[in-house]
Amino acid sequence: MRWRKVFETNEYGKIDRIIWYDQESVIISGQGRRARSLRYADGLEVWQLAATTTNTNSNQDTVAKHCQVIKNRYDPGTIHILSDDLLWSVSSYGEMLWSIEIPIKSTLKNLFLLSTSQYVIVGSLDSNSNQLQVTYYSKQDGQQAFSSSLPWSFNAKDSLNKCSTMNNLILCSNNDELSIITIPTTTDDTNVKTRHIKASSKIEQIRILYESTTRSVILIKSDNGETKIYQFNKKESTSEWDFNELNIQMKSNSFISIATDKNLAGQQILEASANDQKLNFHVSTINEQTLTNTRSYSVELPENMGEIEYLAYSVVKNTQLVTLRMQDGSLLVIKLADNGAELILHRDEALSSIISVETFDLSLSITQMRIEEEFGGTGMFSMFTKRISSQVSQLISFFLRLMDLFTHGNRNRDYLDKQAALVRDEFNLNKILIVVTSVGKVFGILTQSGGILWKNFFPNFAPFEHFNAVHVPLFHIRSAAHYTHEPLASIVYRDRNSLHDTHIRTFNPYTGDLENNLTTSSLPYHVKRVFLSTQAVDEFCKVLLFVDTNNKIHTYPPVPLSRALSTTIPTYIYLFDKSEQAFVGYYLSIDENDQKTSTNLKEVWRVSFQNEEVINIHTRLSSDRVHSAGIVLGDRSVLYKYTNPNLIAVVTEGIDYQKVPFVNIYLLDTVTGSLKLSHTHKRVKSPVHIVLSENWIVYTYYNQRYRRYEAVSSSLFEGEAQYNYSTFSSFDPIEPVIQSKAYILPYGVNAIQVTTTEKGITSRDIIMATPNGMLIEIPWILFDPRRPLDLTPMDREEGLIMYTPEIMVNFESVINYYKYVYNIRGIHTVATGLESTSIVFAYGLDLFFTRVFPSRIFDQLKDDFDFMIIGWSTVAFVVGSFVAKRFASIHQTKKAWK
Amino acid sequence: MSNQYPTNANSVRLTPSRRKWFIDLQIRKNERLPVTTNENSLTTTTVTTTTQLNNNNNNNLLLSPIGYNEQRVSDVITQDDDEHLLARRSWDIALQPIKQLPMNIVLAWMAGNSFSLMSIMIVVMLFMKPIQAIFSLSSAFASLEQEGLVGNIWLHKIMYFLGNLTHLALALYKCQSMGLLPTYNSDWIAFADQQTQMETSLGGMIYS
Repeated sequence: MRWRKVFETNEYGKIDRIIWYDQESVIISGQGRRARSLRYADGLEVWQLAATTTNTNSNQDTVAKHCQVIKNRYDPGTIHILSDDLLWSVSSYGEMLWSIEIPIKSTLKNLFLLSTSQYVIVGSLDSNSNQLQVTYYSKQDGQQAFSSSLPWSFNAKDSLNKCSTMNNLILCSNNDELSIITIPTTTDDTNVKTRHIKASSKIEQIRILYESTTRSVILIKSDNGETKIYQFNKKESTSEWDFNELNIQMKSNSFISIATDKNLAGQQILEASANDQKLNFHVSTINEQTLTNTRSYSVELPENMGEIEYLAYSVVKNTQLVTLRMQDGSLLVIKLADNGAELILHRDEALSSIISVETFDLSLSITQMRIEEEFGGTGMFSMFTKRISSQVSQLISFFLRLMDLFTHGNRNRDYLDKQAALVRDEFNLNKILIVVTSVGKVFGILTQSGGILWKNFFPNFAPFEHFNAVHVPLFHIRSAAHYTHEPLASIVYRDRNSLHDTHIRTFNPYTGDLENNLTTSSLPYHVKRVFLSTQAVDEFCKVLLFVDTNNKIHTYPPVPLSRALSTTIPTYIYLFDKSEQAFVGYYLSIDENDQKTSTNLKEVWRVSFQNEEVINIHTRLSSDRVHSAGIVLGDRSVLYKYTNPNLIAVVTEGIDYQKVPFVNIYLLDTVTGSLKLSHTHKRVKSPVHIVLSENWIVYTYYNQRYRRYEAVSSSLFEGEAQYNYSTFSSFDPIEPVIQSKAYILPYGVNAIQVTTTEKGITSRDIIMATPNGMLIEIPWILFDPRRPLDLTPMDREEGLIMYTPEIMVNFESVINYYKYVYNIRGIHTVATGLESTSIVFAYGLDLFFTRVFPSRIFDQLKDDFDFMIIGWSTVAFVVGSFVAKRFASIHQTKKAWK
Repeated sequence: MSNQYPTNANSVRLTPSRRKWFIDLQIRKNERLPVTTNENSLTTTTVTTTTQLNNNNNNNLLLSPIGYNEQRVSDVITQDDDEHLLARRSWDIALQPIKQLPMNIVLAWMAGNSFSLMSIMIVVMLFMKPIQAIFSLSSAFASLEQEGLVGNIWLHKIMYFLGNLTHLALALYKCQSMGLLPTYNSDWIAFADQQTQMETSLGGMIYS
């Protein structure tokens, strides 16, 4: 990869259209408000222009903007942009030619933009009179020349979805009919001509394949799979067009692209279709009405990539190149040559759309397994024989390995290395990451190398919606702790075509092989929520629990609920209903002898929000461990933490009666439905990023009044005494004491997470991803809500730092150094076998993986530890002591003789 | 405090048999007189016999140097005095730890409550000494037994033991004031078990 340019994450980074020139391309983004030019050679942004807008009301943001960008065919260096009510023109060398604001009326909506050699034509729909008002603006200075109107039968939404423009034509599909409306291009000719093309059934899509001042090719796709291609030719010296159908036989799932080259006589048309793991291409040259010189190519793909989503065919210096984007997000470049097609580039672009991540421990090595087995038996004699036999086998395998090493050398070194990569290391630092992408491709990635171990594509995949993001439940069905059984992971997703159908796919995280017994596509109920059982059932496997629309809970695979859930500890289930804006808590009572696989839920509490909208729910990490029950104060007394595992954080947003936007944060106990904390922030903007761990919460937001990012940290304490030191119940009458402090962050926040360690002894660090590509590791003690305003000796004894509102970020705490990663959407942290070490995996547009040591390396020797000096000095001391002993005895004897 | 030497020559003339001679500079009055005359006679070189006693050992007087006493001192240890002395000495040993206590208090106070090499060494010493002393309790009184102490000294031993216990108490107090003793809740919090959960909760947003 030569260069890359990352655009803004907000609406200004959203690309509306790219216009390609020879040396550079002009990119219009932000709903037609930004134009910039990138040079191909080095990726430099040559120029950037922003639309001059005067009325940027906040109200306008809520209305879906409509934007049209066209390149003037008669003057290719000029680009006309229509962004709602703003019409502006830029030249390809970065000059804003003119910019005008079209007077707005509420009933008038600007829809179409066309261009001729003299005029820029805007078609706006007057919804009152159902007329399309066509206004002509001068191409040179944007002066309004004249306007006319014509009757129009579509409403604004249909016009946008079903119509497209081409030269001076507007093409609209109306059921099985395509209307071609010719807009006159000069002032003397005011005739609007409408012609129709009949299709066999309802037209689904109109695509313009090729467009020039004299010729155009369009594709019409009907919903019965029939595809027709029409060629338009401009009549001499008029603004009217002739059209004829091209005689081409097409499959229903094939894609068409047209390439022109100066060297080529006419256009070449490429038809591509995907068939399992094979891509088929047919290249023909377009003659007047027929296709000639048809050649076929086919290329085998390395894996199943689904259908074609985008196709571009180009001829560069007599090389025929086909660029495809497949359904699984792969980018393919295929070279068509005389000797056949060849895949020259394949990139898994799906990796930039990761939505769920889980980590699995690697499998134990054979020797580690034997050690596990060694201590497995029962009874003294069997244990003894087991130990002896396993140790003998260890000895034999050791000798065999030595023999192998001497005789074969490194003949199958590669194979062994590959095997070794899948074996757990001493400290369980290397893991396998299972990532699910929003396109339905699942990857297994090795952490030590970042190499993709396997990939699986699920074609009819659709993720679940989770507020304004997407979400796919990914579960550890069986963890890697049971060395006799392979681990299993499950994903649950919806069907792309029928959103009520739910698919379950269970696979082995080491190989990606599907476990067919636990894979299904047909659940007899409509799923409202899925979660993992708390108890393992058969062969250490956990089961999935589904709540259906009738508030019944089911298990998959069907096992009695009494085995999937604990019968001694009551289970509470909470669900958030977005339409009602309410949390509902249910109680699940399971009888021990009950063999039912599904049961009804009983509602026990309900928390509903009015005048505010829940925008996010945040739960704590399942791996969250609390090691210490309290904090030791300076006077050596204990402040007990309120560690309620049933708490969730709820973020709501709204506008109060003074029209001031606010954000509320709640901590909701999901067993009782009581609110343990509520914070209100006025003039504050989401997104709110939350970390909830132990007894504290840290969240960040954007403060609109001071225009800065802030973080609020709150801790919950039980107080000086603990209500019950052995058990915790949400029903205990504990009123937690809350301490809070707010801090100013030096950067914006894209994602935030807390480090995880195995036992939770190590202090916590907050990992923060910033928009400028940094991953910052900030110790939690900087966010400590107990940081005092004036430091007493007692606070100093406790190790508190004096409160300063700014959080100073040391550049040493940037854990990715200069390997900047952009648009990070999430950070995943996992514990390792070493208590000091936590694994950090940040994903978004880029992926980044590292290890962090929040309390430094306290359980490891330093890298520069000198084993030689220690070893030799030990040897020297042993030898020295023997020598000294000898001398001492001689000395004693001599002394005795005196 | 060696017990081989007489502490008071006036009262007890304790001459161990090993000694070949000794000079008595404090002679009793009746003994002093002949000696002085003896001296006179030596200086004047005129022998004048004054008393019978002088006459009796006239030859000896002439031979004997200054401070020489003809009279043989009996080598028998008087049982009565010995008992008394041993009792004193055993009490000395028994009370020795208590006598050392003020010094140790000063030492502990001087060390301060901060953690440094010195204070840690002093704390270790405060612990080690009495413990060692308690373990070598019998050897501390062994010398007395060597010298033929008869009778019971268990009371002394108890006193000695208690004295060392005061030292230990001082050491503990020192640890306490330095914060080394686990006497607060906070010292045990790391060993506290995790609270068991009485409820579990599951759930999330409804998939629309």
